[in-house]
Amino acid sequence: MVQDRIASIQLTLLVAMTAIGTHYLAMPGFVARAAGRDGWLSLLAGAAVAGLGVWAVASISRRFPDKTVVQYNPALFGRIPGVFLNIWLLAHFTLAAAFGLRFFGDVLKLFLFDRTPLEVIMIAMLLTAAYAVRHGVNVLARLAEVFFPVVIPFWGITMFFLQMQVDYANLLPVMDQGLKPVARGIFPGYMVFQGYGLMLFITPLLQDSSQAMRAALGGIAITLFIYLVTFTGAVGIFGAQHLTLLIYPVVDLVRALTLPEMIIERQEILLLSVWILVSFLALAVAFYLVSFGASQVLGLKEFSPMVYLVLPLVYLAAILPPNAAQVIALSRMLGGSFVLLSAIYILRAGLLGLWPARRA
Amino acid sequence: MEVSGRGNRLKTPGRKSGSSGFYLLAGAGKPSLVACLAALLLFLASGCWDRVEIEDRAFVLASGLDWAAPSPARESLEPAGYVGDRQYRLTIQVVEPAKMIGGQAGGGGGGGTTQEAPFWNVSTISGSIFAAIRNLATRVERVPDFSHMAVIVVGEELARRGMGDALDVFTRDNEVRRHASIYVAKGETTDVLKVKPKLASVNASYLHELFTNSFKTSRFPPRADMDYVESSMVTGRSFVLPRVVAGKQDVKLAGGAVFKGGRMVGWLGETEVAGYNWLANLVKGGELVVPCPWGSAVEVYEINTAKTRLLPLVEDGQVTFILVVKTEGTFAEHQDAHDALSPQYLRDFEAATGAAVNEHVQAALRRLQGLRADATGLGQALERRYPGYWSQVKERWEDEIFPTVELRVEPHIYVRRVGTQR
Repeated sequence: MVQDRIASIQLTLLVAMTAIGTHYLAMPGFVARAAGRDGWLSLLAGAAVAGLGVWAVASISRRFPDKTVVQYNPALFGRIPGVFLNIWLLAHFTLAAAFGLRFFGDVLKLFLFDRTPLEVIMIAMLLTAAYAVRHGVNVLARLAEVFFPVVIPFWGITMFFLQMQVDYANLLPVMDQGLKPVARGIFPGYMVFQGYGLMLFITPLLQDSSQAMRAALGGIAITLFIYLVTFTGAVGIFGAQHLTLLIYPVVDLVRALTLPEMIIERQEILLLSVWILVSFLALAVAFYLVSFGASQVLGLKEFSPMVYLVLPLVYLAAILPPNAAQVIALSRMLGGSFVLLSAIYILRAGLLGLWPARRA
Repeated sequence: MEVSGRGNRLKTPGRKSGSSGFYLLAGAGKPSLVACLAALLLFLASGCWDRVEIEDRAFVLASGLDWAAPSPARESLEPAGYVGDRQYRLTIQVVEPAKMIGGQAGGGGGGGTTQEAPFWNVSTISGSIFAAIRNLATRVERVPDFSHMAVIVVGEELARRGMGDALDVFTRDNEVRRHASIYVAKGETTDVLKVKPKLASVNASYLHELFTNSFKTSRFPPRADMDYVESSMVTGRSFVLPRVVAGKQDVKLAGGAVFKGGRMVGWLGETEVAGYNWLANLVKGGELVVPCPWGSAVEVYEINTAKTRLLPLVEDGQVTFILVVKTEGTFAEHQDAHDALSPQYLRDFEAATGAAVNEHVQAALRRLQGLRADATGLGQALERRYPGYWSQVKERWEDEIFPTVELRVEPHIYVRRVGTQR
């Protein structure tokens, strides 16, 4: 079996950047819509659930070293449910890639290329992603390593300058309506960590798979930190109620930034150009997971031909939603699907002792 | 295991086959077809689909929004963009860069003709702001570019009728900067926008730079950006925007327009705005004229730093606020003969300054209470400190409770320097 191997630090970065690349721009808005100003607590809770998910995947993977999720599913759940679950997983990640692609296209069209057809933006992106994906997980992992030091300083500087404008008193009072808003916010607060789903496929590709859990938790910690700073900053600048109106609050946040003496204006263009990198990576990772998973389901030795079979599917699913509202609906559906999948794997991992898996 | 034979040829010893694509270009000694094609792509792919050349743009630096009185403007003959009974007049101020290059613009003086001014105000009337902008496409040949708009001036009549709907385009569109300041004009915005400045070349930069003087004076509220307005409108909070009054040769940025429920309900005068700035923790600079504590002359305290904090207090259902004022400053003018370095004198001066702050604050509060508009964040402070109590009273807060609220100022004034003379 030809396999690329990746280091655990690369898994950390992949988990973080896949999560951020998909949901970052809209995150404060939909977390605030569900949980109001207490959304940061929901994010903490969501991260805790994601941590549980990481534990589940890692402990299942320990039973099946060198096997990806589509290979161990039949052994874990029985033949028929296993096959069903495999189809579900592949459909889920196809739609995840499609959502990433569509969201990317919409944002770029809105903020940067208003007369370029959406299709052109998306196809250019998708072909670039296909090129990267075809060469395997190693390329993606290296991309994550290269992009991360570009993205983080930029993000850090932006947030640093924002601190002068943020009124953290907007976060008060904490939990004045009890636990209910926080609980409502756990769904969005959890689905923004979706990126770690890649563990299902990538854990067996680790050089040292015993490190999987630590590496993925590191990725979730990075994501959580970025989310918390951003969310509290957004509430501090806009207030929770205003935040619920904004479709891309992070872009507005950067636009609200007033640099001394206006050294730079329209900073959101800078943010977007950096975000393109992360978003590209997130899309490519989902794309890779589908191609890789499908080739294993079909028992192919090489996955790269799969890339070109998956590509039109991703494109079709991405171009299908007729308007912005349907794109949001797609994202919610993905969130729901991810929550169900996580519940299945977390429960199964919890029952591993009682109901051991058959040898495959 | 490679599927095709091609991979083997490209494989470099010691490398995993997964990354073979990277070696296509470096490949077999002579440049491959792929490399040539890729190089060719550089020429084809480097254009920008959406470019608009800079000389084809019309940079809009200021906009004016008015409630339009029916007038025989050209558009109203063939109305476009009407659905309901709304009627807005949009004025955009476009710069003419070519005229700015011509050196000292506006050096001639005299209001009268704006022939040489490097800006052009175009007005149009429509029922929608977006349609109004597109109306202008029949009269302005270039693409209006709102990305550098620094100021939006709203006319008094429109402000009183509610300006939220008219501002929607500016918040919905991604082109407009969020830092654009919003002023309320006493009267019509065209009077403000047509003033030809003496020092700046364009009216809009004049209006914008006046705003940066909040470090020198507290006579207008130094917060007017779109985010503030939008947040306040969404949450239903009252708010205050700077007032701008047109003269013949200049404009005056002073005082404030108080908004409640999205509509303007009244004005704050210059000193009332100073008090409002203390209440809302917006003071950035300015001066306080104080009667000399030991005589009859006038002394001046110059504010260097200022910070205030609102502490709500609920006792037996009675709401009181304490405004803790902390400011450091300079003894800026001393029209008296007493030794300015006498510690006792400085202490008394600080106390007199505190009394002056109190006076301003109480005047502002009384005015806002009279308008039943809590634009100072008193309600917010209450909500943060007493969420339970707040949920009981929030419906009645602005109309019943806020007007009866008492506020105590607790000044901490520190005079740090006295200048070069005793």
